[in-house]
Amino acid sequence: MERIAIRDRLNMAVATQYYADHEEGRISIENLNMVYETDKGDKVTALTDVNLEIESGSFVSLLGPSGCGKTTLLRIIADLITPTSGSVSVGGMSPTQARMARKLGMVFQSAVLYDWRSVLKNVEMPLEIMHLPKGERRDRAEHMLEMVGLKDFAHRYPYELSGGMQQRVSIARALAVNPGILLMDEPFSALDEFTREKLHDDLLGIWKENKMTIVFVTHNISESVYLSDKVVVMSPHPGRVSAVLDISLNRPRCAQMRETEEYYDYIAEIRSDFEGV
Amino acid sequence: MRGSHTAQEKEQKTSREFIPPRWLVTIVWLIGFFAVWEIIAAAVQASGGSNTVFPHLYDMIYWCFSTDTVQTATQSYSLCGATIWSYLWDTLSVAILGFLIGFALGIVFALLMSLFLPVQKVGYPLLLVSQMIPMLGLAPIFLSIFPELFTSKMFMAAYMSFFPIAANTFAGFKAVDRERKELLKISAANTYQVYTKLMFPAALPSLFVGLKLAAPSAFCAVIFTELLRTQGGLGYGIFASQYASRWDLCWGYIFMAILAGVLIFYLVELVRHFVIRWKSTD
Repeated sequence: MERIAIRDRLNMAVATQYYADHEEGRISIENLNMVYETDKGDKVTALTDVNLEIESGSFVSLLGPSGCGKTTLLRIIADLITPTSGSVSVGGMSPTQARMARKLGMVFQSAVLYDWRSVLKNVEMPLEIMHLPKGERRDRAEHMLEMVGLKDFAHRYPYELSGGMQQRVSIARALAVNPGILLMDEPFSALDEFTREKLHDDLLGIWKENKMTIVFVTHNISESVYLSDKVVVMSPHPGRVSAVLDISLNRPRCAQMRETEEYYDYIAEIRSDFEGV
Repeated sequence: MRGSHTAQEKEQKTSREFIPPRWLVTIVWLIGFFAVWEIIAAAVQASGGSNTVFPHLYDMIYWCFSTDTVQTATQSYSLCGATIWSYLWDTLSVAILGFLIGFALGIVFALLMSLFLPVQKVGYPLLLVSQMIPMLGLAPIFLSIFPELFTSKMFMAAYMSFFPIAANTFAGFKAVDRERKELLKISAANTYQVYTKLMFPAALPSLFVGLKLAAPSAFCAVIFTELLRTQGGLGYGIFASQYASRWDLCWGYIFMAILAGVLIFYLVELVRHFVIRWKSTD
């Protein structure tokens, strides 16, 4: 009897582990449509018939020109807007359930830090909302700041930081609750080229360490190739997925890869996808 | 390259103007004011006008600390230097109390407008209309509604501070960045948390704009109400000294009112300085 119980428990542990590896960060989107109604009453199709599987723990970019609905898709996953039709599953739950279970982290184009809070207090914010005890909150926030390399800036205020540093704080804040899924909406597009490339490598390091799913919205082709396992190419009028491309560049990626032929081939392939539209 | 750099620096140097320190500006301003005042006072008195219409400043300062009483022909108003301080306190204490009531009501009203759309749709136009009612018409009404002069004064102050505080706090709530709110939504924050952790702190700079408008106008409202009925306060002092044709005393009360109003304004500014220690990154 006892042996069976132990075996059950082991099975449970294996199942939980399996779930954590394969389900927690999985995103499935089926037959998704999003139609907006403008103030004049006109209907605008933002997304039409989107089907997408994002595997747990993968790095996926949504790439396309403005108006292709990439941000809309991200906002649907984040439960910030509700789709007109279709089904969305986030970690085996509805987007609302996933959000309420604090499975999601979000990083916007601007860092949108809370200006009246120190850097450390900004990272603590989502933990305060979870009612985590003060000591634990502090430890976790300090750990996150160390991870993004801003430990020495913990007691500074946002206005004292550069744009790149602010965005790092924003990433630390999103990851503080240890979400299974990190959603990023053009997070580096307001930064200069040098800062951006540095943050690419830092983000990949953080991703490797934390094993979460990242959905990364961008309009920068080379950025999407460098970072992703999978690039979802989207096109506008109406917004739709026009191609899905697997990127099999070796991991870990490094700056030298930006010079390889393979890398250029991927970029060229995506370019041709856009030309075909 | 180097040549152009130094040329630029030179240009900067020549175009750089002298920026005097603040204390110097204040001193020059005060001396200038005293000089102009004294010249006018001397001119008015030399031209044979009543020597109290435009008194010398030193006479007024002397009077503020004297204990001479003033009798008028019809009534024995006890106007003297000693009363100016107690009158100041009469006005100030009511104004502060009324201001605090207006502050509390203003915040609550802004919060309700922000929380409930129907309250906003009905309340905001009402708020604007309420601001159009002239103080001159309202003060007598308040005086007849409330039997106690103290209460009328207090509610006049509350009424005058209510609008700027409510309107500016509400504007502050409305101006909160959408993405900042969305971040809290993603963290599954409840409404209470949204307001304590985001809306109120974010609206603070705007709230202080309201407070800086409200504080002096609460003070003015009290003085104005005091002008209409005689029972202590700076407004009463102004009224009574005019009635007694003691323009020097009247100026004293007016100056005291100005001084207190300015001090109140800077007091709010001082509080703001200590509360808002950050800068916006937007």
